[in-house]
Order: sequence, then C-alpha cells, then structure tokens
Amino acid sequence: MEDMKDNLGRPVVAVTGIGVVTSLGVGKADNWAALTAGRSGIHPIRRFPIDHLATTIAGTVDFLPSSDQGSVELTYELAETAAREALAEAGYDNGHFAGPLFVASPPVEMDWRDRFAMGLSADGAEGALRLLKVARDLKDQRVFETTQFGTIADRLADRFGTQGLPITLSTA
Amino acid sequence: MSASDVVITGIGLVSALGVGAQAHWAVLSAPGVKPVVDSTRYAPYSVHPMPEIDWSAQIAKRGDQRQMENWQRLGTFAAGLALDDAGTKGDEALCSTMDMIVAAGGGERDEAVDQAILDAAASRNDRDVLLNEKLTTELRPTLFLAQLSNLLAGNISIVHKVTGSSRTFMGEEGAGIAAVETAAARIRAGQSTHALVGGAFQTEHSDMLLAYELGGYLHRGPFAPVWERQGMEGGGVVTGSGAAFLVLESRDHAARRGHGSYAALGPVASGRHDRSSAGLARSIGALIAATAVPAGPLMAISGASGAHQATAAEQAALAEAGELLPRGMSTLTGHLKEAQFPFAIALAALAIRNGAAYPPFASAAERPVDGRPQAALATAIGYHRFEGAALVTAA
Repeated sequence: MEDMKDNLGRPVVAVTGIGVVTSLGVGKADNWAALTAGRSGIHPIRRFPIDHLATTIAGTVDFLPSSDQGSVELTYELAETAAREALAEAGYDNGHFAGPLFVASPPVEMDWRDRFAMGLSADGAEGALRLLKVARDLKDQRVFETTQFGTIADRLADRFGTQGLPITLSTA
Repeated sequence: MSASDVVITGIGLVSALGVGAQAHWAVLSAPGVKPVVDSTRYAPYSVHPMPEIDWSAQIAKRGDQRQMENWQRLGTFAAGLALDDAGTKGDEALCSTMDMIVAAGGGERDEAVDQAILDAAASRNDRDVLLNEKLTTELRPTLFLAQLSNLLAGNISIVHKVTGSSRTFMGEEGAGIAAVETAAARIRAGQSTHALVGGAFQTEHSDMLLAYELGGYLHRGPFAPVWERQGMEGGGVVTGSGAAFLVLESRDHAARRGHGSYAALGPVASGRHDRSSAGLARSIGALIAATAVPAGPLMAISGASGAHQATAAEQAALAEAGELLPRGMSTLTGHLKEAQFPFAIALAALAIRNGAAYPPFASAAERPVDGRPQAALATAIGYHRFEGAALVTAA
C-alpha cells in the first residue's frame, strides 16, 4: 500500500467526483464539449443593463433559474449545481454526505432591489435609519439571509448533509 | 505536554473598554466594571463604541491608514498589537513564515452613495441603469476596497509583512471559530509552527446594524446585561466595535525562540446545530464536553450574544455542564461577530496568565470564582447559526 502515501508520507488525496458550471454550460460533458470545440463562454452581459459600464462582455451564467435573482441566490445555485454533480459521480447522492464542507465564495451583499424596496417604502424615518426601522418590521428571512456570510455554506450543508461547521473561504 | 501543543504567545485586543491586552486585564480584573454604551447615536439601539485609538501606533503610514475604513483599521491595528505582544513584530524571518487566518465579514459601505442612489430612485423607474450611473461615477475606488472581506488579511500583510500562507474565512461567529480551530489543527499536525488568527467588527455603521435587525436580533430600550435581556424589547443583541487577534504557536516553536506564553489552547470544538429544531442546549452541552472540561469550578468566558434563543440555550447548557461560572463578555464589549470567539479565548488566556478569575461582568447573574484558574472555557454560540467552544489551560 505504499502508493497510498506521497513522498512526504502523507495520505494521497484522490479526486472521486467533479462538478462544474460555467458560462459554457452545466456539467463536465457540456463544458468539455464546448472547450474542445473551441467555443468561448464570453458573451455580451445580459444579467443586468450595461449602460454606462466600460465592460460589456463577461462569462456570465445567465441560464439558471436564479440568474436574475441577485448574487446570493445565484452563488448558491452555482454551488449547489456543481456539488450535486460531484457528489453523484462520487456515489454520495443520498443527501447524507457526512463529511466536512469547504466552500470558496464571494462575500454576500443585500440585493439593490431589496434596498430600493425598503428605502423607498412610505415609512417616516430619515436616511439610513429608515432602513433599520423598516427592517425591524419586515420579518423577511430571505432578505436577512442575504446579509449573513455563513448562509450559502449553511444551506449547502443542509442540502447535502455535510458534517460539522462548514468553512467559507474568501481568500482572493 | 507535547512539542506540538498550541500555546498563545501574543494577544491584541480592542473594544469599548480600551486598547491592548494589558488595558483589558486592568479594567476587567477590577470589581465593579461599568459597560461603555452609546444609547443615543443609533437609538433605539445601543452600541459599545470604538475607544480612542492612535492608529499610527500600529499603522505607521498615513497612506495605509487612508486606504482603509475603520473595520480594516481595527483589524490591522489589533493584529499589530498581537504581533508586538508575541515579540514577532518586525522580525522578518518570523513574519515571513507566519500563517494567517482572518475571520472576516464585510467592510463599510459608502452611506452617502447608497443614500444618493435611494434619493434618485424615488423619481426613476430604470433603477438598474441608475445603479450603473451612480456606482461608476460616485463610488470612490478606495472605499470599494475598504468593503472587501479579504482585504483585511491583505492589509495585515502589507502593513505588518505577515506573508506566510493567508486564508480568509467568512460566516459570522462561525468564521472566528473555524479560524481558531483550523490554525490550531495545523499546528498540532506539524503543518504550521506559528499563526496569526483573529477578526474585527466595526458596528458604528447603519448597514452593520441592519444585518442584525433584518433578522430581528437587536436589543432595544434600556441597556441590560447579556443574561438579563429575555423578555425585553427587541432581539437581545447589543453590538460593539472591536477586534481580537491571537498569535498561536507550537510549544516547541515558542520555546526555541525563548518566548513565554499566556496559556495553552486545548481542544477546540465546533458545530452546526439546525436552529429550526429543538435541542440546541444539548448540542452546546456536547460541544462543552468535547473540550474535556475538568471537574470542579471553572470560569467560562461566554461569547453569548444576547440573542434570546441561543443565549437561553447556552445558559441552560452551562448550568448543566458542571460547575461552570460564566462571564458574559458581551455585556461589556458588545457583540463582536467574527471576533467573538478569538476575543473570548483571549480573555480566558489573560486570566490564566494573571493567575486570577475575573469578578462578575456587571451582572447579578454571575458569581465570584475563587483561586488561581488552571483552565477556563471560552464559548461562541452564534446568534443565528454555528457554535464553538474551547478549553484554555495553563501553559
């Protein structure tokens, strides 16, 4: 069993499942086909208007159900979609992975549509404090979760039955 | 005792109580400490504000100070304090091989730009276009950088030249728990010899309060100690500005460079209890048991936030776990979010090093602890999710 250790005596890590989503498509098959056909996923941005922006093209994923639901929802769906493929390939598709979860993700940010809805509501308070007053009565778990940096990993942990405290890495 | 035990050799603290580990010990070890609370600026909410800080003491260059806002300044400053305390500041050999794990949320948004966009949106329907218009012209690039989560670690590298491996973890209290747990595990496994770990939180910004209040978590009305907010108006959390950084080392590494330590970091336990289900107190009890708390009276530096459900569960768990004598640090510091767990560990280590437990933290619910503490528990039970506990012992 010497093959099971590397030259420093550490256990060799085997990759048993891979999942990908890019602007080229969902899954290894579509991505492989597109890449080997020389196709690029870079295209004009459609997820939001590009008026006034210097950049007008990007590898955006604009074909998922949450592509127009703000960055937190889309980040979750991207992660969920890729993880589902990886786990299925590795044979852990029963929702009880029972291993740790590490996820690299961008910071969360409340969507501007929610900020507009709260900031422009008819409530009386002034300026930034108005949002706080509206927030107090809003009781909208969805909006709250878009401000919590642990939310995406926590939802993934629920979805796939991972074990322990999930780690969200945001090192650039 | 083993060469790969984790010892705490440096502590950097900032809170409403003051600046530095020694200042915190001086304030907290004296009976009758009073919380520093500002109840007018964000009324009906209270906050524990930042103390007066001479940024230049740890961030020498004005240019570096200018390109940060207070969240990154707080973290960079406290990291500098910890490095100084550990005797590693400016030591190129030590800093260039030092690993770093920062627990980070986000930095301050530009409130004026946000408000300008909201004001303009009142009379416009093409709001997506309006956003592009305003964000491309009014958002100063430096302010955008101040918002980025991983630029706290970036600034620590730039200012203090800590340039070993660098990781930024996100996820409120859980980020601080995972940062400490991961750094300690790497040292115990021999993958790291010394690491800088910590986080900062700057609450004096409407958006930082908003992130709690969207979930109904903020306490309103008259200030009360963290254990005594059940049934009062609001959600029980009073936030604070501050930061906590620790220098963790293997016992062997600290001994070889001849540096003393505050305490040893024993088992670190973390968990993710499904908060929609019952049994949080039982899960916290299991975490405490996993830290191998010794028999007999033991001081517990609790990072309880005041959030009603989580705090009640933690109180129940502490009461059942043995002879634990809690000190609710948030009564005095406010909730420091990502910095909560490192801060609790720092206070535990300070008490062990100084050979005395803290008198009660301004709460009638806390009882005195006699004798020299040989160990202390530190907890951080997230206001909304994630839980952690660690045992800190005499080195």
